[in-house]
Amino acid sequence: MSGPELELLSGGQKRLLYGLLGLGALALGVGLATHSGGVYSGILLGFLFMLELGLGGALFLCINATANARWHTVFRRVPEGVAATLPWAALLVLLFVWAVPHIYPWAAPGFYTDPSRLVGGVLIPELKAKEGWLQPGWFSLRAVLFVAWWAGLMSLILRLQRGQGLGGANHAGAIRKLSILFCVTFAYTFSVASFDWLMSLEPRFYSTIFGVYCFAGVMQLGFAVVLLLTLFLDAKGAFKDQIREQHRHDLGKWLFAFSCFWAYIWFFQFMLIWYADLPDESRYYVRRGGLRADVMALVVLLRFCVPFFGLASQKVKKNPRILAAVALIVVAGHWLDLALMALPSQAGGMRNLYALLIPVGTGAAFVLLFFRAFAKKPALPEPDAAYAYSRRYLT
Amino acid sequence: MQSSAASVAGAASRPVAAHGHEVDPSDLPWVEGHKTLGQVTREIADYPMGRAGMPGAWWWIGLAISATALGIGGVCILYLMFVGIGTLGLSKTIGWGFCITNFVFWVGIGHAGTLISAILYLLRQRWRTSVNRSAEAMTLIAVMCAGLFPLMHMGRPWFFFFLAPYPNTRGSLWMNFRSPLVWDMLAISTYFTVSLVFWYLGLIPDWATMRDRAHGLRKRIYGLLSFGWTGSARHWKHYELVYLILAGIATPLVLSVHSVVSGDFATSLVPGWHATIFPPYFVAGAIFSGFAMVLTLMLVARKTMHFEEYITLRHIDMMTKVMLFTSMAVGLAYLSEFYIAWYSGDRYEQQHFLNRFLGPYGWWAFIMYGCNMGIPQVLWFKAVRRNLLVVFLISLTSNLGMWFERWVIFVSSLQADFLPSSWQFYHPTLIDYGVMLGSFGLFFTMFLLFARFVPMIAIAEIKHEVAHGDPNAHHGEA
Repeated sequence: MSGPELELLSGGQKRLLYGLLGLGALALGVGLATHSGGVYSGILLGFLFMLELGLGGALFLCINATANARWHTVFRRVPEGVAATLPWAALLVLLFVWAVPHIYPWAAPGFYTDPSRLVGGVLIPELKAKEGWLQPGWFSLRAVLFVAWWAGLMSLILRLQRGQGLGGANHAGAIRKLSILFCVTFAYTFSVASFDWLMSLEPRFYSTIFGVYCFAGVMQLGFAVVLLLTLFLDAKGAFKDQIREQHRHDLGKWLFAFSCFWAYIWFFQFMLIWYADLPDESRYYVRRGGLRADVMALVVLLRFCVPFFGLASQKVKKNPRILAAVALIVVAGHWLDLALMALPSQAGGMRNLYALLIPVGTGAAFVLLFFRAFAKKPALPEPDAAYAYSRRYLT
Repeated sequence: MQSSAASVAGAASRPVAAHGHEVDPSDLPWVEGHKTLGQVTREIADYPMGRAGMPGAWWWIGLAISATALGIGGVCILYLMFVGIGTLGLSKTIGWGFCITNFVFWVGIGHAGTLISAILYLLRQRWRTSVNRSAEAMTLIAVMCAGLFPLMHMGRPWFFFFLAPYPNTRGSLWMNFRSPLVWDMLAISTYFTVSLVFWYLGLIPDWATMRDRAHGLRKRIYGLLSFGWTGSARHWKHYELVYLILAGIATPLVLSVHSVVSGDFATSLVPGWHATIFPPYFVAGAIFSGFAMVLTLMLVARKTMHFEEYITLRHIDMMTKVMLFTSMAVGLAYLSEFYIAWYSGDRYEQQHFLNRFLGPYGWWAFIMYGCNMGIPQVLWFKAVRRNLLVVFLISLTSNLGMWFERWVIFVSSLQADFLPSSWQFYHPTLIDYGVMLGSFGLFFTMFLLFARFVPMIAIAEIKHEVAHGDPNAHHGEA
């Protein structure tokens, strides 16, 4: 990129981000030093929040590459920068794996031999299958493998993406093939990961749609975070006014669509469990809808009502300020949704300051890492053949 | 701002030009053969106008076969009405059999039309233009076929209006709003209405084209159908706006209808029926089977009606990719079900899946999983996607597989439920088969009538794909 280096973050913004990162680290340190029970669910949330932010960008890139889309090329460095944070989030898996015995009830020693879970000296059938599957060692290995696969494959795609168009290089075919591989493998691995990381917090709860639900959340988060960062960078002039109303409108439409998709999956999981009223399933919602109906309603408000009613109008979808506000609310809604999935079964329930401070810290780390990755490359992928299309396409 | 944008534009365009990048394939016009606009009108409108050797011998043969099937079905339905639903192979164990399977099968077929007309429109997928008209017609016909089955199954179909919520003289005898069957009725009637309006709206400019080419009584009929369309800028402006709004309204219907249909089963406690993944799983399956049926119909139509330049190999490539994607989505749902059956430790659920494979109806399951999850994997290869015979065969196996999917889910779940003493088989009767044959007869008869009297391809829309209709087609600098 020619011209002076853009000062992407102001001094105050940098200080704020480092401050939040420090706050998260401090909370983690204090929690671990005082052996506070809540710190472990804070670690889970901090890990998941940062990982899913990165995965949102990775999915954005891979889905567009799979569909041969070119509309996003102008701001493609944004999802690339988001996805570039994945290896760092992947490192957090080590902290998470270390905390597993403190987070999951089944990881506590003696869980499978507790007399309350035995009938006639034999483990109850509802836990029989899990005895071998939900074991700290094997569980941790799966977690490490999943995260390593996503981060590794994404790094490969990003490396090709970086050279795209330089010196006449055309990696579009290879990028597309790897993106398809990412999407297909992600569907399966992420389903299992969601069952592992969140569903198994309540070992007797099961819901076949749970993986799709988590996926819908990551997709919505991905569009929100790409939108938010694109608008921020555009306001700073990073894209030299190449982001047009058309791009904002299309990003807004995607966020609107995936807010609806999330709500669709949310509703059917809730409705079918409420309707059938099987004890192992409905206990999940008794804990949430029954005891924390306020938080559950807030999640729906932030993730569905605000983006649905907020973005319904075409005019609004082109307005950067409102778009950014809605996207920010959706990101906050995603954190709250994760908290509502993870915390009610944990010690201390929803009143857990660590579950707020540690994700805030990892979220700040995500933003700093994003800007670091973004500043390394020219903001506009001008050598890419798709760039010309993206700059001027109409619908 | 203008000047900086222009300088960037200039810098950006140079490498593109210097490397001599060929035109991106997706920028090529979708209609082949360098047609003029008049030629497009002629080639499409001549069929319904009866000028292009239409109806040919193949049309009469097709009509004869499908009308015979429809006739057989009609006789069976009459017999069913007079004698009662005891003529079907139902029992107190399996209270839902062929009728519900056919119902869900046909509702599912309809989904491709709505996806193509609404979602692909919103996603600006221009290839949809060659197939949207016939896919939407297929949707309407398929929903009609589907609607027959709940009616027949009522036993006293003349009381079907009891399902409508209106103040009545039957005292407190209202429908139960908590019954998924009532949601079904509401979802499907909404779906039919919106699909019909959407389809008809798209037809208005084409009726006007036909009117302008016809004489006498035909001209009057087409004139009435076109609502006095003149093609003025104002008409087009309103048309485009309404079309976009209807596409937006129809989009949630793609998800809602089959989600509600899946609720008929998922709300219950029957092992194999109660799974929270059913709504998206059914929607993916519906789109899969719908695209399979679109391909079955279009591959025949393009050959017999000489539409090879309108429905090209690229179109077929796109449709097979949608099939591959939805097949993978359905496969993920299948595997999630197995996983949770194992993980949950629910003995009834586990017993059900063992019975599904190893029980007396095991071969059904192999057809279901093989045709829906296995065979479509060959579509990963471009050579396969462009081999019309293979694609046609896959479209048939996919339809077969999706029929069996419903059959397996509905019947094998009921066949062996909680109480071993009531386990029973389902033996379809001739009436079962006859009614099913009748629904296929109705479907193909209606589709043939559609091909005979209505322009198969949206004339006004396809003209955008011929030459200069696309605003993104030119890459020269402004």
